Amino acid sequence: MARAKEPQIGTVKDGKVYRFTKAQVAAHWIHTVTFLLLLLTGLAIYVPATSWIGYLFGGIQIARIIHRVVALPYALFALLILLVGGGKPTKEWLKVTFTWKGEDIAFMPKYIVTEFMGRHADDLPEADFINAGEKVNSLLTIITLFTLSVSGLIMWFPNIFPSWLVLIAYPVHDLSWMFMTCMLMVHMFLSLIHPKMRAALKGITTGWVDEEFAKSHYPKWYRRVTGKDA
Amino acid sequence: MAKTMFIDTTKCMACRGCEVACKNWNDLEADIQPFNGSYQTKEDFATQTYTVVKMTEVVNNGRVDWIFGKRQCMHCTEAACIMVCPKNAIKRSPQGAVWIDHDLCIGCGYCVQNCPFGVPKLDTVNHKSTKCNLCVSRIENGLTPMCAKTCPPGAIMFGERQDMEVAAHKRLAVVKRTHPNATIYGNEEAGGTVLYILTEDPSVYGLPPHGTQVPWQVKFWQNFARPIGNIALGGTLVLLLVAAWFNYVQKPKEPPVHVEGGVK
Amino acid sequence: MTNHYIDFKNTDCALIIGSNAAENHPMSFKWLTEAREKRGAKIIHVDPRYTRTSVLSDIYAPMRSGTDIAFIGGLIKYAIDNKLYQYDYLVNYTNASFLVHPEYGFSDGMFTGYDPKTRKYDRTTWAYQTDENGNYKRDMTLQDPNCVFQIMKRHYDRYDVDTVCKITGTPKDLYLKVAEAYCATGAPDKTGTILYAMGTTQHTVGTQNVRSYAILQLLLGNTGLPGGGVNALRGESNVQGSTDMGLLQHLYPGYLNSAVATPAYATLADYHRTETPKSGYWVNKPKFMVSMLKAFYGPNATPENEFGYQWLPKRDPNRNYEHIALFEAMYEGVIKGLFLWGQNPVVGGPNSGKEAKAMENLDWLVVVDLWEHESAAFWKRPGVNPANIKTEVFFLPACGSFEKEGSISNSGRWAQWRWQAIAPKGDSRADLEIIHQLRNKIVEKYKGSTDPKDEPVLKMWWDYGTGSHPDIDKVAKEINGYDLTTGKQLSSFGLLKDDGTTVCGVWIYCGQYTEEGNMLKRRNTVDPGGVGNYLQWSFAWPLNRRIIYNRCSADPYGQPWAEDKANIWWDEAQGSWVGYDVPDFGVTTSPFSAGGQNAYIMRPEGVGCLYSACNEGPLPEHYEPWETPTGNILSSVNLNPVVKLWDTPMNDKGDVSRFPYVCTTYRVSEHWQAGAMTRNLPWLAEVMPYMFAEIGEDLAAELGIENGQKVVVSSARGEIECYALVTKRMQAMVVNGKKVHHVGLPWHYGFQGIATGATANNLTPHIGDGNTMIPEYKAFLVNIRGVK
Repeated sequence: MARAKEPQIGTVKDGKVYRFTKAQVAAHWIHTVTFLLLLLTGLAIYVPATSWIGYLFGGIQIARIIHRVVALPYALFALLILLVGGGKPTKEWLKVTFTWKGEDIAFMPKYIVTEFMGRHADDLPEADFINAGEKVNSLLTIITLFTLSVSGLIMWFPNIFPSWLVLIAYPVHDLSWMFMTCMLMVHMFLSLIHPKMRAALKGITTGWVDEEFAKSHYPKWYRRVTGKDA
Repeated sequence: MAKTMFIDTTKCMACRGCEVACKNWNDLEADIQPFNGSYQTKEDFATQTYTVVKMTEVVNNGRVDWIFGKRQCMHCTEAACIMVCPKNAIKRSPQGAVWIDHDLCIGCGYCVQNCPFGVPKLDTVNHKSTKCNLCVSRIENGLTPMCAKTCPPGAIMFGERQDMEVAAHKRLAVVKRTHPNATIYGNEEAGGTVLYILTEDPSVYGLPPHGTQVPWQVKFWQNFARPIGNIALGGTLVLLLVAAWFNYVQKPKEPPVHVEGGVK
Repeated sequence: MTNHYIDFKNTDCALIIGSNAAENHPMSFKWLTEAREKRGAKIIHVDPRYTRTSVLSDIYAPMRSGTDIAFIGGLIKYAIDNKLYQYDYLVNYTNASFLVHPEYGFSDGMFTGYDPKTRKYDRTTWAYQTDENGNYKRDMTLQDPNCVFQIMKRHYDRYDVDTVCKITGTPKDLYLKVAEAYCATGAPDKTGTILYAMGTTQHTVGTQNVRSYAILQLLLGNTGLPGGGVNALRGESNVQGSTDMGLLQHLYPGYLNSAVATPAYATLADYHRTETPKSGYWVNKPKFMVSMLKAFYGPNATPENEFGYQWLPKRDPNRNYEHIALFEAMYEGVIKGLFLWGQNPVVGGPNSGKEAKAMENLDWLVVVDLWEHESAAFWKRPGVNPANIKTEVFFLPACGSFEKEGSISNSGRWAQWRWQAIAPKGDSRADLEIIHQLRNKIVEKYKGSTDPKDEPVLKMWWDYGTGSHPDIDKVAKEINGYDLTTGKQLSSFGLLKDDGTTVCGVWIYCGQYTEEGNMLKRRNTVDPGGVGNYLQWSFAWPLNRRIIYNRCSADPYGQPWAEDKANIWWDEAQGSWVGYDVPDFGVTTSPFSAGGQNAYIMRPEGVGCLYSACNEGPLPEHYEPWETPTGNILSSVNLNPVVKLWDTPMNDKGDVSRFPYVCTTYRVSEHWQAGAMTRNLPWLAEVMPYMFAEIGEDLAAELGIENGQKVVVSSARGEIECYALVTKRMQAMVVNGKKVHHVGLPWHYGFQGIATGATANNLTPHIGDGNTMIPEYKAFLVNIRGVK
């Protein structure tokens, strides 16, 4: 439920638009921290070339414990926060993530060869709340949350599950982290390194984004939530 | 160089000498179990038990029989445990012994879950996986494994792969005279490092069915999923490097200024 | 054994009866497996239970515990009726042709000459017929109604297959399979071997059980040949050595009978007269006896003092010195002190509850062993208050076989040297050292005494060096013997003299340590003929003969019966016997000379005896065990008529109405004897941690007992609680038209050690064989019930 004091999504103030709720911000960073810890400890456990990471955690056995301990908030907290504290904005996010139109599919290849590479695209389809690329990110994040959590649980307590299921859990876990990590690398590149998207970082930390940024990147959403013309 | 252990279950008398000799050589501890109504006092492999003589009473054509079969690691030539070990801690010796290097093992248990024969067991205290190592330090020095050395009726034989294959087939022909359903087990299933003569269905000995090999899930995981994932990770990295280059090294042209729209 | 372990590989058919060879003598199966593999040999297992031996056998025949004589008697009749006996062997090498006293008779289970008051037989009517010169009368055609063969034929005529199967509970088809397979070894080119152990001997008819195997083997011409023989799998690794060294109460070393305090043994001359037969190799007894006395008393033994004969203790003719008798005497308070040397009767003794109670009357107890076992701890056993027991207990720790040097004689009579691998732990010592130090201390106490009663102690000759541990070479050399005139070690007991010029501790071991050295240490694997005799691997008594009675391996003309069965043969050119073994015969005695067919040189008859007098008769007859579920259908005599009955407290007899099941005790591979050696070792405790009662699924269903449930097994002597092990491998047998169930109990368990459990022998009785008094551990009655 939204707090009385929290601004509405779409509120315009001082040249900024309110884009993310406090719940969404919290969920993002809890998810970030837990996923990164899981990734690092997972690499220490799983990939021989990155075994040295184990030393950062005080040894491989401690890394293994941390992996399991952190798996619980990873699986539950972000989910809980969004479901409990998310309200309408979360529902909208889910709806838009799972709604794919022709223009979303057209967005991807055009975007990668232009904006992504630092060039300008003339006729990029207009995005609503999030663009197609961000939809892929959201989709993968949600899907792998489930696949990693469930397969991880099965791997953690193999004796209570049928053998064939346990055996499937391993490749599922493996594929999940690898593809999510690909996504994470792109996500971090865009948010931290790519010149054009730095503005987005302010949004996921404070909740507010520059109005111009909102207008140019998410025109449909801007028009809808502010009522103004892009 | 490849060796084979040929276990002729028709000669076994379940004296358990192999069980004790194995514990002796590997310096394992006794782990007394509760009474289970059988002479087979160890139900399964355990962290301190690398080999168990399975003893099963059956009735064939109204006649009672007692089927013995020494269970141990199959030392597969294509070993699921080696494939799944994240630390490359499981190795194969030139003779064919599949053994776990405890200096590298972290006790993750992947080998335990993925072995089709249910062999490795996890020591959750010391975080190590344990199993029969075919007395690798002995065979690398030209000696025989302890179980083979101690077996009084010579049911456990050890020698060159070819010689043991020949012996197994010769023996099968003889056994088939009294047990027409006898089979050789271990060639198709594990590549022949360990061969059995069985007179009953493998399930009687606690073995998975004839033809069991590395589980398809493991093959899918190691031969398909991992490479795909690695390619994806590598590919993404390359993509990002290219993008970074285009974004910073090759300065982009200034985009035209539009009058309408929100593009700057 | 008449043969030896490796020789099993030469057999065509192995009959394992009264033995669970695979479980308790596993090495026997190394050789039996080879026999099966290389020669297609068949293995037959006859036993109340289907055991790990049965698994490896071609034929398994169930047999009620205690009915061996009926079982084998049926095979004897089968062989006779179907003319499967080896005729030439029978005529020439056995007493089949010997004529017996015309007044010999047998009727309704009894031979002629029985005195019911003394429970003894007068053997006069059993004697052979002799001519005026004292030579045995024989009918070589085997037709004379008084000849042994005809007597035997008549005797076993009652043992037809149907009657036998009624007694033993064996299904007829299986019995006939056994008969067909085993009696086929009567062919001259085939041999069968009989492997037996405590399942045979530990009965009130134990001796006659063995006799029946001997008869069958003689009939089939199997004794004295490779792959044949009557082969006891001895119950302990060095029990052969212990009986060889004379540790049985009625013997001196080398199976000389010990003297009794009667006029027949008053002097050494009397001893010679009483003990020495007129023919056979035992005519040399005086040489063995005197040489032994010289070993005992050294220079103190002179012709003038009968070589010290009067210093030997004599047995009281009215006392019984067997195990049961000793503990009965202890119970009565007659015996006040006890040495338990590698013995644990509180677990291993019959009626062990009574035996433990008997020990409470002791003033002192000395236990020599590796662990504080149940007998050492009898005074603090469950259910007993140590404050009520006055016995002073001494424990002398002994070390294990790897911690000391010495020889062990296996079942095949091979005495193999063992070297010390590590030093004994703590203050534990070799038995040899303990007895040496004990003796020295005792002699010290007697020093300076002039009392003639003390002479036996002071005149002992003990020349084994001055160290705390005796010089074992000196012991071994003395056992072998040496010539006092030359000072040289002797090479054969044929060189022993009765005039005091030779010393020999144990005549049968003469040859073990010659001038060439300690033969027991030899490890040469040369094997002429590939028959497995390995003549240069250690030494086998007597004189390194590996297969005794091996004259029988050659026909009356001195040629092997079959090339495949060659062991020794006569070489006319050399004028001697040659071959793959040391001849158990005069090396230069031609088969064509007088005595050339006397293959059994130790017998006065010179031949093997189908008919041979023991306490209960010259031929084995089936009697029921003391406690039996059924009457004897062969005669009205239920129990062996010569066994000693102990009508004493704590030894009640159980009746089938209260105790309906036949119980048998046995060993398992995983444990050793009374359990101290194995139940104290973690890896062995782990392979068989618990006491259990083995019962068939049918009996369990009848009584509502589940596998793994706790049960109470009871007999007229006591009760024990243990787990039930319910199995398909035991089923009810039909005996005399009635269903009879067996209950099986391993007897290894006691209250000490890592693996503990109830003691099976609390249920067994104080009653033993008619000749040896070995206890009837193998067939008694029990009841069993489940407990929640």
